Amino acid sequence: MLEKILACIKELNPFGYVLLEEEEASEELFFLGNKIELQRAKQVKRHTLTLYKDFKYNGESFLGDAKVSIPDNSSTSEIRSILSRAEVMASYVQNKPYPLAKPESSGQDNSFEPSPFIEEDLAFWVNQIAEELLSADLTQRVSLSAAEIILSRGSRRIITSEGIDCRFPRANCYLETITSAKGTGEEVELFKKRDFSSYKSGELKEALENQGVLTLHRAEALKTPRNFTGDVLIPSEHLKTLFQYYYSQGAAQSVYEGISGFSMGGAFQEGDGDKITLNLLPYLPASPCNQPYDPQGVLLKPVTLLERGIVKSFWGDPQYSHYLGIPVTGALENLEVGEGSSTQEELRGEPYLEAVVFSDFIISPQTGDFGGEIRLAYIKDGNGRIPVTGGSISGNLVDCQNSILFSKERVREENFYGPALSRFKGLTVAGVS
Amino acid sequence: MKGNSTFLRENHKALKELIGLLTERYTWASVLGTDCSGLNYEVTGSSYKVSESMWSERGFVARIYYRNRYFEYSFSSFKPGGVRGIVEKINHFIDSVSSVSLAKEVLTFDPPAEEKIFLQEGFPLEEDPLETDPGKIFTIMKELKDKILAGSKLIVSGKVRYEGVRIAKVYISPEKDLSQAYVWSQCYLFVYLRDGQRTRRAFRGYSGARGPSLLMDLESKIEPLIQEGLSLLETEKIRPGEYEVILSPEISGLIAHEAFGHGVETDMIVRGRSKAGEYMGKRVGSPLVSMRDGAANCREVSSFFFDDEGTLAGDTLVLDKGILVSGLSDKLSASLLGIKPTGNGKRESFERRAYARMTNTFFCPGESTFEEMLKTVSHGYLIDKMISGMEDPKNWGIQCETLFAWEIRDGRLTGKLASPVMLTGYIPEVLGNITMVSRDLKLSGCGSCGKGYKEYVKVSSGGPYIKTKMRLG
Repeated sequence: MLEKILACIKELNPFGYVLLEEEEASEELFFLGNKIELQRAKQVKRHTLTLYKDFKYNGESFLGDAKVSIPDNSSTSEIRSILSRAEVMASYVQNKPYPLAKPESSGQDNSFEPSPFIEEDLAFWVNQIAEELLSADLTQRVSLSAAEIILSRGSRRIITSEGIDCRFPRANCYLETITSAKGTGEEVELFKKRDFSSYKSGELKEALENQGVLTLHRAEALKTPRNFTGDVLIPSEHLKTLFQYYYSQGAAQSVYEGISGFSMGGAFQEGDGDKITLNLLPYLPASPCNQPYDPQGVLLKPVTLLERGIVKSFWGDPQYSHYLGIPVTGALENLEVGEGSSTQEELRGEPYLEAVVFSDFIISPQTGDFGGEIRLAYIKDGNGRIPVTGGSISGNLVDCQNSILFSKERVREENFYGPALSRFKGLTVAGVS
Repeated sequence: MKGNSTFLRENHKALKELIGLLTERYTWASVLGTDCSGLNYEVTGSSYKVSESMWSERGFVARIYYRNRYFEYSFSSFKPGGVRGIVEKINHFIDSVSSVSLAKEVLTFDPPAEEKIFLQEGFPLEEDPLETDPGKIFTIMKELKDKILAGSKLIVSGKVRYEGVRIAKVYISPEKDLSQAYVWSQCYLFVYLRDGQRTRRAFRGYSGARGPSLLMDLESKIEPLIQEGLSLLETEKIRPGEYEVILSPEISGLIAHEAFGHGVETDMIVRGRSKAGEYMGKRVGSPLVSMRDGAANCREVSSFFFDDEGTLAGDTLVLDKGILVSGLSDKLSASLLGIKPTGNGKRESFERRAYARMTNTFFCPGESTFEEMLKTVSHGYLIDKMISGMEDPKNWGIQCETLFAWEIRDGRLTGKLASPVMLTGYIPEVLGNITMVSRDLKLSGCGSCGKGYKEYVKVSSGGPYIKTKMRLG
């Protein structure tokens, strides 16, 4: 199939192209309670082609592109038709010219620790993970309502007109667990999802048992009080979400289009809070986002986006990096945030509301507005630390970033490695009792 | 049938052969074939983009019933081994998973029972998004974008996005031979404004079971969009609390979808994840409120003739004057509950499993007018423009984030705006507090619906203006 596509591209002789071939196989297990409800498997191949066309319009030069998919095992005439249509579409895309990504040798150690899911049959790993989950010691009052294990692996190959030809394996597991518990009131549940490319034996069992404990706390929780006006602690799982704002603001496209207010070398933080350092990495242990090259074939290397409250660089693809006159970094997807100045114990020293589980915690990457409904939080005041539920938290990251305190201790959350805990001032807590 | 897929027509015989071979070994089997193509156009202040839609897919998923259990196998092609090659892979998969001993039980299902149906249907294709001249589409989008950018000195960027998708599917089983084809489109207008350090974004979305003609009517929408954007630069913080609210049709739809619709998906009920299971046949809201869902009840982005499990499209009355009367079912959960599936079995693509999902969901119109409702509010808010929502079917909680909360005092809009605003609450209270329902009915199908954080499908939702009480923060 690849040879057929390349032959058709050669016939067309475009200005440039990026061809992605992806193979993916999966095995999937779905539980209803602790009973197997459904088992699935998948074997698919995908081809995505970005075709580039240079042209002039009203005397001005442009580089257009169109991205199309070529269905698995299309005939030669179908491929020709898709390519021809892509070329026509590209001829209307009036983008200023820019150079395409060139082959590059790293000069650095770019070797990854491969995912163990690449070894053994998929069924072996699915069963290992299922056995570990089912062995979790949930107390009598907690039960597993449902679980899903979707284990995928395959490869991605990138071939470009500029001479890039790279192939690398990909593997990861998506795991979803829902636990329920009954306290004195109604039965409640907590939902947890995780994406990972490796795990340590026992880690999933421990995580599920911890989820069970939190579910029990939710079942016994009081209503979040209306009159809470103190600081809010946000753990790493949700801090990861907030850093999507900085990731978006640091994107070359956002800067070029005027959506980002960041300027190179500019300070985006003032005040006494911890100054943020944010690095983008091609590899993070167990991350589902590890890749040596991005989908345009750019070789990925670590980038420091923000350093102690100062914008150090932007990340970008060949197009917008060229427009800004900056080096091309490619699209790195792993985030590493620098440590803070306080221990977790110090951050928990003064009264707080610690928001542990939300229905959904979201941030607008353009405006910095964020918030979510509280499913489980803990309030510490003079009377100790008590679980609460209900109501919501909201705020704007631009308004509160000057006073955030981060913990020294850092933890991994999927594609994020950063402070385990953070303390925010000035957020709105809308309680319910 | 115009729009039907050549690829699916050419593979029809192979699909029949596949079912024949599978049912020699297994009790029953079915296969869904999909061939969906779409294009995503984007025009910003500085660039143009055209790319394959995320809804494009081409492949097959076989479902097998064997030893009272279900298995599925998704594949993108019959080659290189042909039909027998796929059968061998399926056999190998089922043999390997059946023999693995897990220390837990498996769920068993009654054998599937399908009626004999042959169907070939398609909505008339007024304009195929794949066949429309890209130059024409870009020209219209550029004009809209230019008008946005010219709207104010405070505008830093503008964006127009159009997506059009052509859908073709077939479903084959020992009893059924179904095929369908249709299109849908969605379009967004964005404006980004900055005043000092404060960046704001306003947007409007439009959708329908139609092609690029959706773009034709949008020029008149630019000025109101810009005014909304400018309003967002002068917002106030809302004082958290419970208020009288008038929900716009879009937000009524959001409530219908997030707070109620997800709760009546029967795969949530069988998992013990939905309170609705305990309330079937009981009152859950005001007698003023009724709600429907179905692929056959209107023409919007989730209108079709059969779902991804081969069940014919339905039109389900879910809530009848405040009484919960029905759930929304896929085949597996319907089988476990001993009820008929309602035509709500949907997949994100042939690569994913089917779940009970919504289609076109709305609260039914009532008798009042918006002006009458406004006059009855002494201090409250008109809530409009959805940002996001998340379901909580277990506890019937609501979490929705909206862009606009326009203050109402003494029956009038004051012009003061709070943004963004989080809506939370307990659905029986929200539905029970409904005191007025307008005569309007408006649906919107932009964006997508997830089951948790995955399994994205197209849906539409809407309703009338609704007056109730909710907690805002």
